[in-house]
Order: sequence, then C-alpha cells, then structure tokens
Amino acid sequence: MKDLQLNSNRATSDAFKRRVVILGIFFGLILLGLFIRLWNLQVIQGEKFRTLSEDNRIAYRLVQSPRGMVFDSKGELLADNRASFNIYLIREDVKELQETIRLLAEITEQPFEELYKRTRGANPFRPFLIKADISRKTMAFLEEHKPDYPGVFVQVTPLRQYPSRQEASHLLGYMGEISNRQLQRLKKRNYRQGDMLGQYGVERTQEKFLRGQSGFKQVEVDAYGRELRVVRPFVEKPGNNVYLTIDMELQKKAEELFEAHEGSIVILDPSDGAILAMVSKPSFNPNIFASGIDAKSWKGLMKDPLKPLENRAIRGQYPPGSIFKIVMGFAVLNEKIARSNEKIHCHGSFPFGKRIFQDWKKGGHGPIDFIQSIAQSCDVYYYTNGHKLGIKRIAHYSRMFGLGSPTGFGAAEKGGVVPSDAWKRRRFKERWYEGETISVSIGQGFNLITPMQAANLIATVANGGHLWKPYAVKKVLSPRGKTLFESRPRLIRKIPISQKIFRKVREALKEVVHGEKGTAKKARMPDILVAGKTGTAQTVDLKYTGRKKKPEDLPRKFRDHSWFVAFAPYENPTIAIAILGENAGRPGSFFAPYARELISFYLKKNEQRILASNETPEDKRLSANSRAPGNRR
Amino acid sequence: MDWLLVLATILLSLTGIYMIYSAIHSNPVFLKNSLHLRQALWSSIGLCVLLSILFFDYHFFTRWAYFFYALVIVLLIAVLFSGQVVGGSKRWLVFGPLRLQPSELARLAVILVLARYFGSRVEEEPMGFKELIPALLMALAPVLLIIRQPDLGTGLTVFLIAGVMALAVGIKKRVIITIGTAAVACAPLGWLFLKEYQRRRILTLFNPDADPLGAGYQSMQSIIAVGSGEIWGKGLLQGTQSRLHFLPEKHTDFIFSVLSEELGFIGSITVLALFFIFILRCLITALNAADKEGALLAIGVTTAFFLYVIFNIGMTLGLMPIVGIPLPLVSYGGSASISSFIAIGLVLNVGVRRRSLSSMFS
Repeated sequence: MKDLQLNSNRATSDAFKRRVVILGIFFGLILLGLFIRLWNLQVIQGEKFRTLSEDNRIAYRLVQSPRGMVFDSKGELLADNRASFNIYLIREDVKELQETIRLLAEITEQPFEELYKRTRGANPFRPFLIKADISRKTMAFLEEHKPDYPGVFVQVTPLRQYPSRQEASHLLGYMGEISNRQLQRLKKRNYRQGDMLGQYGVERTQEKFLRGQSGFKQVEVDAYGRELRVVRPFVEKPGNNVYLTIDMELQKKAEELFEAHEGSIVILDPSDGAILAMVSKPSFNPNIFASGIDAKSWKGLMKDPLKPLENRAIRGQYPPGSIFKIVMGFAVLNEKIARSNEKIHCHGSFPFGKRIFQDWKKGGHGPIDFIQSIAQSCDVYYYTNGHKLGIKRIAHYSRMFGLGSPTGFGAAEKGGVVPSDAWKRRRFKERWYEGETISVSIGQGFNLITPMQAANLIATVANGGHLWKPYAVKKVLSPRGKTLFESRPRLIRKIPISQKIFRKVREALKEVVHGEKGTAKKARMPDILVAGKTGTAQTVDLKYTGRKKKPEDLPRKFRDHSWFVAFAPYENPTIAIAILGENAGRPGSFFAPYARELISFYLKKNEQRILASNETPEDKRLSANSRAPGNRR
Repeated sequence: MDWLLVLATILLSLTGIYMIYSAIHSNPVFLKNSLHLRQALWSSIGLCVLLSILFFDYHFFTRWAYFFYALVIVLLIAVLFSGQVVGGSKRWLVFGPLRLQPSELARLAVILVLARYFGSRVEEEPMGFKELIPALLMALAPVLLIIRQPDLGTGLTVFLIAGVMALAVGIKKRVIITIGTAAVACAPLGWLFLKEYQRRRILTLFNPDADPLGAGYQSMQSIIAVGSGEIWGKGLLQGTQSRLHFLPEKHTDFIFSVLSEELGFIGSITVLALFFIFILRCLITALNAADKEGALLAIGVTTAFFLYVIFNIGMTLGLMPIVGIPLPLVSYGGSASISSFIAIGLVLNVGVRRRSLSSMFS
C-alpha cells in the first residue's frame, strides 16, 4: 500500500475533472437520443408497427421444382410429375391445437394420438407436413373451412408418377423420403428433412440429374397463415430429363408374356450392350412410393416370400444348367479337346469313380458331334470333355465370358459364382474334387449366374466376341434440350477366340432351334433364323426328388429353373435375349416360344421403322425431344 | 464498494439470460444446447472473476499492461492465421472445448495500456503530437488487426475508446483541429476501402425503405419488432417478429429488439436507465479516483460500454448501420461477458482503492 500514497503529481487535476464531466453530459445526451427514438417508435408509432407485425407478416414457403422426366429410347414417357396437394400446419398459428389435429387426423385417416405427438415434436414456426397428396374432396373441405382452422394450409407440390404403373419398375426404381444418413451426406447439396429422393433404380442412380432445385419463396401472409401475395418468388429449376435405352413396347410385351411367372427377361442389343428390356417378376408399383410409402404396404413388400422388390435380372443368381454348354463349347474347341466333327458315343451315362453321371436322355444320344452336342444338349459329351478340360480351364473360359463378376451395369449387381479349386478352398475350406468338375461341365455344380450375365453371354456370342458392358441410360438432356450426358458403349473385352470357332458355336445354336433334333424347335420362325439354347437347372440333387415326380408335386423351391437364351437374326443379330423362369418346374424349351414372340415383335417393329425411314434419324430425335416439355407436372 | 454499479450489472445480466431464452425458445437446436443456461454460467464465472479482481490493486494490472497488450496482439495475429471462420470472418480462436474472441480482450488491453501510458504523465498541460503518436500507434496496431478479420464495428469502437481517453487527458487545440480536418478530408478515402455490403448498410440507414428485402430488411424488421412492442410489450415469450425468424442473430446482436418487442417501452427504457446508471457510476468513480491511472481506467471502460450500448441499440432502432456489436452483459457470448465483468471489476477496483485510502487519511 505504500506506493499508493497520494502523490499530488499523479492525482487528477481540476481540468481533467472538468473534461470528465463534459464527457458525462455528452454520453447522457446521446442516451437521451436513444430514449427519444424509443418513445417515437414504441409509443407514438407503436400502433402502426403492431399492425405491421401482426397482420401482414412475411413467411417463407418451400418450393420444389419438378423432377426431371424419364423416357424410353423412342421418347415414350416413363416417369413424370403430377400436382399433389399437401396439408401443412404451423403450430404457432393454431388456436386450438387438439381440436385442429383431431379434425386433420379424421380427414386424413391417421390415428390422432400419433399425429398429435408428431406435431408436438415439430418446430412450431415452420410448416409441418400433415399429409402429402390428399384427395380433392379433402382439399375442397379444407378450403371451405379454412377460416375456422388458422395455421392450416394447403400447398401444391409436384409428385412423381409412372404412367405405366407396373412395367419396368425395377429399372425405373422408386422414390423415398430422405433418411437421416442421406441427409447428413447431402445437406450441402441443398437437401432438407422430408425431401423425397430416388432410392432405387434409375431414380437413384440418376438422382443428381433428375432432381429439381428447391428453394424458398417469400410470401406475405395474414394472421391465419393465408398467402396474400408473393413478395419474392422462387424461380423453378426443373430437373433434367433422362432417356433410357429400353424400348417400352418391347418391355410391355415381355412383361405381358411373363405375367404368370416368376423370374426375369433381359433383352440386349448385341451391337453395343444397350438394354432393350429388363423384366423382373414379380414386380411392384412404384407409384405407391411417390408420396412416401405407408408402413403397411412396405411391410407387405418386405415380407412377401417372392421378394417383389428384388431385381432378379441383376441380383438373382441361378445355376445356368445347359446354357453353360455354350461356354463349354468354346472351351472344348479352343483348347482343341475335340475337333468339331469328332464324335463321341453317348450311352446315356458317364461313370466316374463310384458315381455314374446320367444324361438327361435315357438311353443316350448315340454317336454325337459338336454341333449335335449343343443342339440336343448332350450331357455325356460335356461330362467327357469337361473332365478332360479340368476345372481350371472351365473357370478361365467362364470368366472370359464375363461370368463370376458383375457385368458392371449397376452398383447392387451380383456376380454369380465361377467355381474353382481356389474358390472352394476360400468358401468351404475344402479341396476341389474331380467329380465336381463333371457336374460343373453341364452347369449343374456350384456355378451361379444372373440373367444379365446370361443375356450378355449370348449377346457376345451373337456379335462375334465383343463383351459389352450393359447399360440402360442413353442420355441426359437439360430441360432446354442441351446434352448433359451421353453414354458410349463400353467394351469389357474382346474374346480371344477365333471367328471360326464363333461361327461353329453359332451354327450349333442355330441347330438348337432349326435342327431336326434341336431342343428348342418351338422358337422357330418362318422367315427368320433364330439361334438359342435351352437350359433346365435342377435346384436340388435328383436323389432327393426323384426324376419321375411332376413339378407340381414338389415344393416350389425344389422345382427346376428354366433358361432360354437366344439371338436373331442368325446372320446379322440385332437382338439377344435371356429368359429365366424361376422355379418354373419346366424344361427350358418351355420359354422358347416366348423368345420367338419377343424376337418377332421386335424385328417387325424395327422393320417398320426402317421402312418408314423417310424420317431421318435427326427428325426422330427432334420429335422425341418435342415430347419432353420442360415443365410438365 | 459501489453497490449501485454492482446491482445494475447483476440486473442487466439477469435480463440478458432471460431474453436469450426468449430469443432462442423457438429454435430447437439452440434450445437443446441451452444457450441461456450457458450464458448464466458465463455470467457466474464473470462474477467470480470480478470478485477476484478486487483482491488485487488495480496498479497490479496496469503494471502488467504492456505484457498483456503484447499477448493480445499475438492472439490477434494468431486468429488471422488459424481462427475459426464464422459468417465469413475469422473472429474465434479455438482451444479444445473453449472458444476465445481475442477482439474482446483487445479493448481491455488498449484501455489498460493507455491508462498506464497517459497515467504516467506528470505534465498538466495538454498533449502535443509528440506524446500522442506512441499512443496512436499502440491503439492502431490491434485496431487494424481487428479490421482485418474483418470486424469493422469492433475495430472502430476500440479506436474511439482510445480517442476519448486521449481527449480526457487533454490535447492541444491546434492538434485537435488538425486531426479533425484530416479525418474529414480522409472520409471519402475510407469509403473506398469499405466492402460493398458495408456501404449498402450505411446507405440504407438514410433510406431504409429503398430496398425492403435487401440490406434494409433486417433493419426494417428490427424496427417493426421494437415498435410493435408499444408501451407494455407483447409479454414474455410472446414476440411474433422475433420468433418468425425475421430477425437474424436475435440472441446476440438483436437481443434488444426481442426485449423491446416483448417488454415494450417500459422494458426498453428500464434497460436504458440501467445502462445510464451504470455509466454514471463509472464516471463518478473516474472523478473520485485516487490517481490519473485509475481515472483513465474508469473512463476507458465507461467509454467502451457506452459505445457498445449506443452502437447496438442504435442499430436495432435503425439509427446505426448494422455492425456485429453485442449489447454488453445482455447479448449471448462468453468472451464478451467475461471481458465485460473484468472491465467492471477494474472500475470497482479503482473505486475501492480510493475509499480505503481516504478512510486511511481521514
């Protein structure tokens, strides 16, 4: 405390004190200015501002621009938008919350308790969605009673719709409300709680192109939350339009044919891998997802033992059965295991070790060369040559044709199984037995393939060894018609096998349909040569079911899968097709007529188009575009 | 001890905590983080800091002023390099869970360092250029660093605090006239350095209706909120303007709008009166200070509070351009609260030392 002694030099002078007083007066005067301003605003003009604040308030309303449309390759509309009316509620504006919610619950057919709870949990100042896509009747009722229920309002937003209802639903996919995880990821890209986005199929993969911009418009609202005028509009920016490679007419035809079956049809353009049709049955109606699927329907779809949401074309894995003989044929000829005219005598069985492998034909096919081994689908021929090839080379040729790994079409695609010694050690921690090679040779061992792989296999045979990556999105155009994306065919690999062998295999496949003893004579067409291969894949060892049993007597899961793959025309293929009947319990030849129908339908249609090609391709594109007005709802 | 000053401080803090709750109660995120409770915590910590400051003589703080000043300069430089960017400007330094706003400390540092510098002057006659220049440099260094963040409002207030302190010490008339003329001449030049949005904010001050949805929007909404409070206010938690998200930053910079809307003229002039008492008591402390150093400390703190109050309230009443300046003790913010309590602690300290001394001599 000593150094704090009052030192006259350091003490404040009178002049200093005077300045402090002046400063105080100055401060006081300015504070007085604030006081006057407050008096003016709150007391004199208060009433005016009170009115301003209560009656006409500015509110923000979310505006969702329409999502881009989806078209098929011919410009047929597959997905667009329609106007839907949504009820919103701003809790803070509601006078009698309980009563209002009770009414809303009643007219939207929701349980009161749940709706009340959800409403209580929402931000009281933001519009809260009570129900999307209400009926016109409900809407009329609300409009009429609006003054009685302040805080409730109806807003129009575009809602996804698929005019075709069930067709190509696995390819198109569906919409769903954004999940919390997606929201975390997409927040930066202007996604909000409650937004709908593509959750499956093209809707999902093309989300970034299809999504329309969303934003807020500023509106002046009255005390009841009614819009009086738009203060600052939001300029809509619709999403881009996606054009698929599929031909919707062909797709519809395929769906129609396959209506009563489960399984899949995949049709490819062998010249570049474009998907012309992709059917997976049973299917679903994507429209029920558009405004958010209700829990009951969702549960129903999930619990259905036939799994309608599963896209069997790329996710169904089945033993290939005899269509695997196509791969085997290439291996046998290319590895020079047998010359094509070399005959093997088929007695109807192939003894190996303690086991006897049976041919499907009792008594056997007799002497049989390469062409007939395919045409008649002789098992013994492939038991014999498959044994000589060994599993290593069989696996090598399988992979060469794209089996054992996804074709690259989509992210959720399965790859199937190409069995080998290494695979078996990995999978079962067990070595490979030679007897297993013999089952594999006729597509009946551990091998699994997807319908997409089967279609790609037959397309590759048809085009002379170009293994293309299948694709479904042809191009994406902006609403104004600017090309944003155009897909180019992607070659996975050129099969390193001579054209001579390709010609031989194709000839054999033609014999399947057109030969005297071919297994798919039902696929014959009067004017066009078709090449194909049947396959019947057992799901379980014969000793469990017995050969004689009728398929109807077996439980569904034990019934055979039926395959038919084909291409046409034989000389200059323009269509490749794979049909799989899941647990159809039929021979593969059962589906041969289906293939014939689809081939003839497609070729005839193309022919007509070629005939009518006074129209240049350029015109066609223009006419396709003209069907795509930017803002259709 | 100046109990009236302490009472005003506590009342203002309590008002702040309640108004913060009112401002955020419609925002689920803020509410979940209980910003009002955090503010209560900051205020309590601030009160403790205030009390502990009383245990030391204020000369202890002025003795360390240069050191503290250097530390703040280092922090201000650090914030430019590794500061957290909020709303386009770098104002925060992050140390683990703690966030520090060095510009809040800078005003304390400048007050302390100038109190020390001017306080050690023995001469009675007004200052000339020679004595002013070191002070000017000491003030300008942090000011420029703060403006770089960019935080024009805070930078300007710190500079004005320095100016008022210098004026209180006394400046030669000739020098005042020269500087004043130079400032007027340079004003158009300063306009060139302003960012586009800053210019627009200043222009809307003169004509807020010109662009009701642009720059004038916030200002207009704030005026509507204040005015609609009328005499008695809409009642606690009943504000409509503020809860409808018309007002940004309502728990920080626009807290006074919320208060005026909900508590009306009565509420807003009460707060104004509390600030008036507060400033008055601080100035009386300055008048009665034991020495020049103490007096200058009190003047600096008073000026700081005064400037913050008129800038903030002036902004919410449409009298000042919109600059990010909080209402001391009332607005939400940890760094601001604690630095306010420290400042008040220093003023109380000056008052206490005087009395204990005079009682010794009487």
